[in-house]
Amino acid sequence: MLIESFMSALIETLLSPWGLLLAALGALLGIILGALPGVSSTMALAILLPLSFSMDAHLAILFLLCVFVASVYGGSISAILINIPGTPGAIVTQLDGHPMAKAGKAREALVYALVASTVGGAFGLGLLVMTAPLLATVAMSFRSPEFAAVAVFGLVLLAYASPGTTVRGLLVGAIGLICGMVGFDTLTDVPRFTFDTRTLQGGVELVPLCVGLFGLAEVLKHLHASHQAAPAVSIQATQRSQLKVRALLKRWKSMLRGSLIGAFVGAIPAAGSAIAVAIAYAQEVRFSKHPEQFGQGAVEGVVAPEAANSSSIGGTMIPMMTLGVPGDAITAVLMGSLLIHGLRPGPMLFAENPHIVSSIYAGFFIALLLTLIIGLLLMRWLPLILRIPSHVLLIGIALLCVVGAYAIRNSMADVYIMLFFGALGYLLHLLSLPSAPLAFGLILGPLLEENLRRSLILGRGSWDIFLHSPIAMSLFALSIFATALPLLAPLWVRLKSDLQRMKVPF
Amino acid sequence: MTTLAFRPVAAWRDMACGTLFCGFALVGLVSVANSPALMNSLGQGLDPGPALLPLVTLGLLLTGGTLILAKGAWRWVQHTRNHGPTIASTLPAVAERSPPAISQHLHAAALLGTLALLPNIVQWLGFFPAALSVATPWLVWLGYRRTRRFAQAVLLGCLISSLLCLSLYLIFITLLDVPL
Amino acid sequence: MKAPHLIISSTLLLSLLWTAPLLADDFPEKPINIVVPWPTGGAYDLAARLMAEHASHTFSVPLVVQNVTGAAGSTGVRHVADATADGYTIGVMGTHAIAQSYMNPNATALDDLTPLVFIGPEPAALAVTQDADIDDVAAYLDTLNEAPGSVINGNDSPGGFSYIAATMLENQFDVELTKIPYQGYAPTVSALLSGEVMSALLPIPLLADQHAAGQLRLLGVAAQERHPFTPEVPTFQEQGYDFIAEDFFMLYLPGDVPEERRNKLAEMFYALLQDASFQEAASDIGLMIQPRPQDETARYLEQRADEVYDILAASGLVDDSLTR
Repeated sequence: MLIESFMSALIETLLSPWGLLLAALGALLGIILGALPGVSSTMALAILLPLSFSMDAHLAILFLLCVFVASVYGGSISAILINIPGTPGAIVTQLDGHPMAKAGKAREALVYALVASTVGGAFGLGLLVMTAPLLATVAMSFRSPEFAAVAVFGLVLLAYASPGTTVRGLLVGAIGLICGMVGFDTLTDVPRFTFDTRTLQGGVELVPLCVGLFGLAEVLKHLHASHQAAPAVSIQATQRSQLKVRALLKRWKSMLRGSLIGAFVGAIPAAGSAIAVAIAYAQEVRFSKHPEQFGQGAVEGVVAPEAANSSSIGGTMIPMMTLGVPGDAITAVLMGSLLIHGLRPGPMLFAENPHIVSSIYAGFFIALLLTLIIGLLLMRWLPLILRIPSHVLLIGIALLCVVGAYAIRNSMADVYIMLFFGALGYLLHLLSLPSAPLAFGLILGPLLEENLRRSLILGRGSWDIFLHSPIAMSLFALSIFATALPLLAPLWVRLKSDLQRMKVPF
Repeated sequence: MTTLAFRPVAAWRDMACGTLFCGFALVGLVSVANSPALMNSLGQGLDPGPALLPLVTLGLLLTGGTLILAKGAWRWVQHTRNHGPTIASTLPAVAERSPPAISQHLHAAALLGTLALLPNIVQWLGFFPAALSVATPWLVWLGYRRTRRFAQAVLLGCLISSLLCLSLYLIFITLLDVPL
Repeated sequence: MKAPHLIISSTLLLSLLWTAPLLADDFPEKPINIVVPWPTGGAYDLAARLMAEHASHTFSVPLVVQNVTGAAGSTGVRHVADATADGYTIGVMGTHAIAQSYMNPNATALDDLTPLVFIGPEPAALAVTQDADIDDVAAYLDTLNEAPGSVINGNDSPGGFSYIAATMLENQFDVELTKIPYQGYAPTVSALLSGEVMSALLPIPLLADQHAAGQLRLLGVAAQERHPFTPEVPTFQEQGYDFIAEDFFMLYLPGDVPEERRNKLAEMFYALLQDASFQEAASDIGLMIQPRPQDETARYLEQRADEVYDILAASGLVDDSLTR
């Protein structure tokens, strides 16, 4: 029945030219806004919300969904081309996407990201339509101890997710953890590491940190060499490079893994896409046969996080649709916009307004399709950004970093924080230290601390609370497994060859 | 020169990394120790408190930093004692790149400095003139370094920077209502 | 005799009308910014955006909503307090600003703000999980009296409204809750739904749907009257307990905006809040609009400030440098 009404809502929208036009406009604006550094999906929705006031409720939903879905992909464009994440969900995409662009494969990277994004989005939508109530119950069994276990698992994976030595990566991650603690403590509101200044009381936000650490630091690195004939980014191959469909298809496993992680992490209330992409990337590195290729332009490093990023949309909508609780900041805005149009997502929506539910699903599907189409159309023009003389591009990016860091919270403090991390990123580069763990530490640190402490309060100070949670225990077991993998792998290889040798005589 | 400078670079890099980690840890520790609210929260009640995890993390950072620093120092001592090629070959090749020229750091520092001034100029002059006053000199200077033609660089620099700042102004301030 | 007089006076009047804009303060003549200290999507933000949407009836200029977030809402409040006091920057605040002004030496003091218009209250309701097996407020209190601390309550970190509401409940009935802090309302609701906590005091629009779907149970509304979203849930007073816990929304200005402009703004916003289409849109999303004029707003703020101060002081949360 659900599928039926889904199809009818879909066809209804597809047949109305006005709705389709509006949706296309939404997708285009979403991609552009998402690609602008400092304009996250949250802001893109907030900016375009007033436009939807005058529309009919179902058209407004369609428009806003298109903006939302498209902006999630849009974030990866600036991540790949200029190494600044357009949205927080794209922070991982640039780790391999930008090296690909530098190697003259910008277009490929963009297409891979777009396709992975569509596949992931469709996967998330499928889960949302098919299993929303079921997945919601599973996600609800994630309480504080399980969250803490997820964070531990993520941190263990991330320890290996950086090129270079593990110990140094971990120490940089520790700096990230400390940066995540700046500002008010989440449980007691005690200020930490603020040095009694107002600037630091607001804490270190992910976007200014990433804009500085990846964007500005990149500018600082290339500024000196900008007069040399060879541009910072080679564009020779961008025009005629063959898009290897087969190469993309070969990565279906990565896409699927990314989608699964994205949808599931997204479905846990309050986890959100930044955590999903971090874990998707980390497991891809950890369990890859060629971990050394990551950070140098590995396709898996683009495909898996992008799939996770988009599939987390469907994931975060699961608690929103079934429980009325937004999964992360972006869905909170989406929920707010639906509220303004008189729709309250939540358990009663299914019962009272099932056709609205299906039109939300249909709108989501159309948004995915349109993002794919418009993204492919834009693909022809996007890499042209790289043709801009490098010194102009560098100064432009530097200004964009400042404006973008400010725009995310309208706060000057964030500009100084961005500059600080720009300098730190440059320093890390000089010292051959990886900078990605810093961002990962910032994402996972607060998650770990808050939930670990809350679990201990709930468990009356005893660690038994973790023992009573099968999910937490299996996550801890997985973490131990991931740590021990380098020790186990040779054993496994030997065992396998032994077995084969044993077989021969018989 | 480069082959001789090869080993010291690795040693120096270790020491610098160690110093960076230790420096971070020490600044953090000072901050925690100076906050009575944080220190008093230790060992109170069921909540392990807002100071525990910072102290643990900072402790690890300090330990790791010290070890790396010591390793660098040890390498340095080894090198100065017998700077022969034998040691160079036994150590893993950490330093493939020669250290960047000093003028690169100057450029980076200068850009950081001007960008740090930007918010102040914005508050004084407004966004457009401020962005212009930062972007134009930089574009002129970088353009001049590229072509070595001063007049052309000035012209192009002014033109490009006004285009750049205008588009930023239109996108962020006119369209997106960013209160700058 | 009469005709020339009329001509003279009418030309005078006309010229006065022409020159009036030049002489008098022609406020407002550019968009007015409403600063929301919380991210997009929350109740504060929705209230501001609805006002902006309906502003065209009473305002000649557009209202622009800006989210300046961070530091438990104090960044946004400071942004307003530090803005040029020309009446073009207005802030929205609630209990959080009062609490921050006593807990955080770096937050803006209440004296530096001028209350403008009270928008409305946001009453809380006491919700318990379905399997807690508590049917009304009396049973809830009995459970607590039998075993103090046996009820695990989800709330904000200290200083947030739902923390203050929970503390008010503790003080009023002389009971003890185990208060578990969460980052905002949405995580608290999910903790309640997943059964990690047993009860919570939260604004009603967040709980009404889940209550109707039978996922949790609302025991009582902590306000004077029942909430339109949950007409079947009685108030605390109806059940014999004099307990009121409400957050509020109000508009305020930086300290020294010229009186003329302040009065004009107060008048315009008061008119906007009375607007029928605005009120309808607001009640659709569960906001209660009960505007109060300037002087009453100031009195309300003072009263609430005293109340919140006492609660914070009793819990030892007031910063040493900010004690009264």
